[in-house]
Amino acid sequence: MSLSGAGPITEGSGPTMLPLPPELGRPIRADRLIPLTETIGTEDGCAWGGFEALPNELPQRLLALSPSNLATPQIPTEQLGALTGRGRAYSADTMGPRLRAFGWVVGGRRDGSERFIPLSRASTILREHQPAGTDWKFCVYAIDATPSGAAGRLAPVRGDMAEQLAAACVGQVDALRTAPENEAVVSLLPNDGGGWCQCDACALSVSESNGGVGGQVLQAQSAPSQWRMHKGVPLFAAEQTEPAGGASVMLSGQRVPNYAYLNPVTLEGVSTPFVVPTPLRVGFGRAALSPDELAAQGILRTGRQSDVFSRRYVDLVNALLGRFVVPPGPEPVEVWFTLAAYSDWRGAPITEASAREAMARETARLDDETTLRGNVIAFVTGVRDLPEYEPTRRWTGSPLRDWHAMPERFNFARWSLVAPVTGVYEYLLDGQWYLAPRLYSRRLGAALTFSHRCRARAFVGEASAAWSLDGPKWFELAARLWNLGDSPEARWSAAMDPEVQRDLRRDYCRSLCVATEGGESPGPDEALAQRLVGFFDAVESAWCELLDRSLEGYQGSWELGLSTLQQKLAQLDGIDPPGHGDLSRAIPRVAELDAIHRDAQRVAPSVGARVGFLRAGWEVLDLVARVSRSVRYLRRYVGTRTISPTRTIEPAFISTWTTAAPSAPPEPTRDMLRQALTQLNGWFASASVFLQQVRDPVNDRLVAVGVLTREGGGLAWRQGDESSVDDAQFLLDRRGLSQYVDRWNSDPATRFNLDDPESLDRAGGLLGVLIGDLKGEALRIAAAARNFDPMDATDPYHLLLDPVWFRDMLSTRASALFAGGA
Amino acid sequence: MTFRDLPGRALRGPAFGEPIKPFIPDGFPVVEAGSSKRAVVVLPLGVPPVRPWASRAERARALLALEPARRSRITDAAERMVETVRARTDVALETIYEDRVDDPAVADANLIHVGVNAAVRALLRPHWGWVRPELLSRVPIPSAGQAFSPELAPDGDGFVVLALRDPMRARRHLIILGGVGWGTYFGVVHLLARHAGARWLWPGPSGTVVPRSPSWILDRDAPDSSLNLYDEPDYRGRSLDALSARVQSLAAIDAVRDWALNNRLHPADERIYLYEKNPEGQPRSSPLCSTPVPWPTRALIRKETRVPVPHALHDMLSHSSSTLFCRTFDAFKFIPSSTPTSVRGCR
Repeated sequence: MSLSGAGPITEGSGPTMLPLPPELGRPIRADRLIPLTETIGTEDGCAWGGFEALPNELPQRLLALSPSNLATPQIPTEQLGALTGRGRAYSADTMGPRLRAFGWVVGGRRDGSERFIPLSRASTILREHQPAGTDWKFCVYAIDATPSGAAGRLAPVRGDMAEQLAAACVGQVDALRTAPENEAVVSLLPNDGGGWCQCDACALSVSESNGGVGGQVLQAQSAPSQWRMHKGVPLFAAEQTEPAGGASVMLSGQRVPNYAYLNPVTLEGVSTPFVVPTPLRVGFGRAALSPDELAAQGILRTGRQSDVFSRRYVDLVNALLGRFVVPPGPEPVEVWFTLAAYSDWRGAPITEASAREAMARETARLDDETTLRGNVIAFVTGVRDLPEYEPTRRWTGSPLRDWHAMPERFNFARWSLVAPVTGVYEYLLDGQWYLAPRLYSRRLGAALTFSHRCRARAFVGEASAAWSLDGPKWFELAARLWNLGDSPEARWSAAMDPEVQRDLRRDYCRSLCVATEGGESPGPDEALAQRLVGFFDAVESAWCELLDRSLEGYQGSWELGLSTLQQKLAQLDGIDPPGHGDLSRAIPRVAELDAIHRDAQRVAPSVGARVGFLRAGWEVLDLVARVSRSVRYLRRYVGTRTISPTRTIEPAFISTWTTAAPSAPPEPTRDMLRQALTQLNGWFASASVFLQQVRDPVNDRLVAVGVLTREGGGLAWRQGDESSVDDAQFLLDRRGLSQYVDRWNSDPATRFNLDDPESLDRAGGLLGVLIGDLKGEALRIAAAARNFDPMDATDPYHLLLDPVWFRDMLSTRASALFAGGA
Repeated sequence: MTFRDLPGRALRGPAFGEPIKPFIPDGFPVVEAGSSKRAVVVLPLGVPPVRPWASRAERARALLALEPARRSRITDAAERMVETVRARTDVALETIYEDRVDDPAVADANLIHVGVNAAVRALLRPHWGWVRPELLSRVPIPSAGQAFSPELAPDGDGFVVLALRDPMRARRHLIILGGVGWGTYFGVVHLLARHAGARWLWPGPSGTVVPRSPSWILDRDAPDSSLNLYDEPDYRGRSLDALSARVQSLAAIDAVRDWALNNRLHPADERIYLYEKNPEGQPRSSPLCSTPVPWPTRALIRKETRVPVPHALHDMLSHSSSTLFCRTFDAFKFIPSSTPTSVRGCR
């Protein structure tokens, strides 16, 4: 039986439950396939550090499925094949026998070389760094700085090393003296507990990747025997600034002269003098106790916003700056330090009581002991589309009143009591982390205004812009950053630029509608502009309403809705409510935009081209929404009782796909299941067209990555348009795919062979995380269908969210499920 | 002072008081159809010339080349001015250096000064004594009206746009001065957006909107006066990281960079992506130059990619540092007598 046909699905039919379509030919050995979709992410919300949660005794194969898990092996980009959700990638070639070391690419970017920093979960590092006493230790995390090219060194050091760090900063300032603007910036950024050092926890990935250090292979050339080696990494003594014996450590062809390390025996931080040619990032190690232990003892309010951790961070920064003196020189240098209040030390290091008191008294700041020194900017990370930033929800300034309703704002205000200057670090990412259009200019504007009143004078946004999808988002943001518009201090703006300031969106849409043909442009087509305004307003409302529904009772975060494909797909529900799977129907917003586009073309070619640019951005979104309709519907139906008790992040997006479930009749659901499985199998089995979300802004055309087909016995890859845009939203890297297809056709051994575990990895890597996710979805739905009984109060679907159960289920049953294919 | 009542506000407002505002009541003609009167763009000495690039890729190559000194924000700003005026009117503005402003060939031309030059200094000198206090009294800062001090210095991104009639000559001057080079650029794009209707909605030519018109006469048709304007940003550090993450070609990186600049953002990491993507596949040489370049280019890259932070947050510092004054507004290089001597010549 083939699911590509319309055969009935029989409950309890055992091996015939989820046969693969005949194209695949061979069964997947499911005991070698571990979907990770539900094990990604830590309970404290960091999707980047979740891999430590995996048990050590993994099955042989590991296939990372979620586009949001940021799976990144330690390989250079040149060798990457498929792209994960954030444009990071893993390669068919370099997937190790055990894909263990995932990580987030953070380091080594500034000199153009590729370096990857495997992340370890914070608690794991803490455990390994647990000192005998309760002395705090700090971690020096120096991107492309120490030790001289070894990116992402996380060297735990003690507080008394601040002097050395300060010297390193001085060195950097000297290096920057020739900068044209006479400006030096040293970034003090706490790593999120990730990075790695040479402790057992951090060295785990090193040992398993045969000495791969930060993505590069550290080759000890002619290593003298006196070198101490720790898990493949040479260690140098503190006083040893040059390796003895005339040999050298090479990292990616570059010599590594100095080193900093953690003594694995004593757990003492030891360092040779730093050479800091580029921004130094300083983080800190954790306390003697884990966050959970601290919380259990009542020291911490929560694990997420740890006052204690950030307190230590601030202490380190102050200790460092206390020893830092701007070196004299011919050119004056202005030195700023930045501090990132990131992830789980986003909490300001003052107690709630102190903050309340200070705010109630409206005193300026806390005493010098507790505040940061003068030239530090504290960047507070986050997303500002949360409900508390709705402009109608005004910050009253009353801590007691605002604290629970506006935790993020309250936290920002607390940082403003600690830091002389604050900054806004915003995760703007659209089209990659977020599938749905994520337009939230109103809330972002309100947040910027609020933050400005809390001493924010700097803004950094992570932008991987999908220019045509989120429309005016970027334009509006840029304008607001220059002029907040409604802040008291910007009162001149109304007189000077009323139109822009009153309505940036209208300005954007009117500009879109200006015909630029001929010698003199007429005024913009106001009616068309108004329709565009209405369109973008609706898009913005859809996203914000989705958040509001999802976040009810949830107190702020910035990674919401991103941990799994489920959550990402659920974002689409806001613009395309899942119903019965009419795949031919465009999502309503696209239909609306199509109509606007037609009228725009009638106004003028130039106007039509601009609106067409916007329309093209919805192409893939429309496609994904359509093909995922049945899946989303199923999830909504089946997922009624799926809230996992073990997940704290999960409820955020669940409410959006559970609303209609109780009333859904069983039989249509079975039809939907059949349709979904057919669809899913089709996705990863047959020829697929992969389009890119991004509209090429330079060449002004939509880019098709290409078409992958099976022709005869070989794969065929038809390249898409040549374009300057080469980064798919979440699909394929076309260059890597081209290379793979060449290889596949030339060497049968490398072919896509599901019977071959190695090949399976390649397939997973090559065909991309989306397909892997859909496989996982198929598995999940299959298991759900096998046990599915909508009238049964003990719906076992929630078990699918339990990774342990799911793994067991797969190992015992999934192979049987797949064995009956073809 | 409370956390809701902070210093460091943006300085924004008319550069001159109401009675003095209409320096040029009938506007400043940049291009006037049917008139032989023309305007030329004046560059200060020492900056690279505005060049007609054969392609955007060529321009990007130069922009991102390893010798940043060969580029200048001021040149970029003048180039943007010329490009936009051409897009609007089909007229190509001439650019000259400051030492040519009295040449007979341009003797009767109106001048658009991009950046400070000797002519601007001479023009402003008689006015400066009253311009500055007037300005300071109009800006909403706590110590308004007080004598000038470094703490009141505007941001490097700030700019002033002035229109003056030359008291000695029958020519008009449009002066765009920035705190630093960035500010000059932002002043130019502000002018182009406000008065020429130019918008940069997304990178590349398809996102650039410049309404067409045979003439462009500043301020005559504008409902308000934003020519004599003084402005600086509320957020002094403004950048979008990974903005170029999805583009690979030189031209595309350049387009994204232009978009950011035209929307008054700081470029962030274009160079990083350029090197990262390395389209010519030469990991140890620059993809920009035909001749191999020693790999450690950090020092050069850093000049483009420093962590974006506010340029001048003097007013937020608990300590006062006269050395910080070097970052202040170019216009204040006409150092008033009340300025402490210690800050003189610190640039």
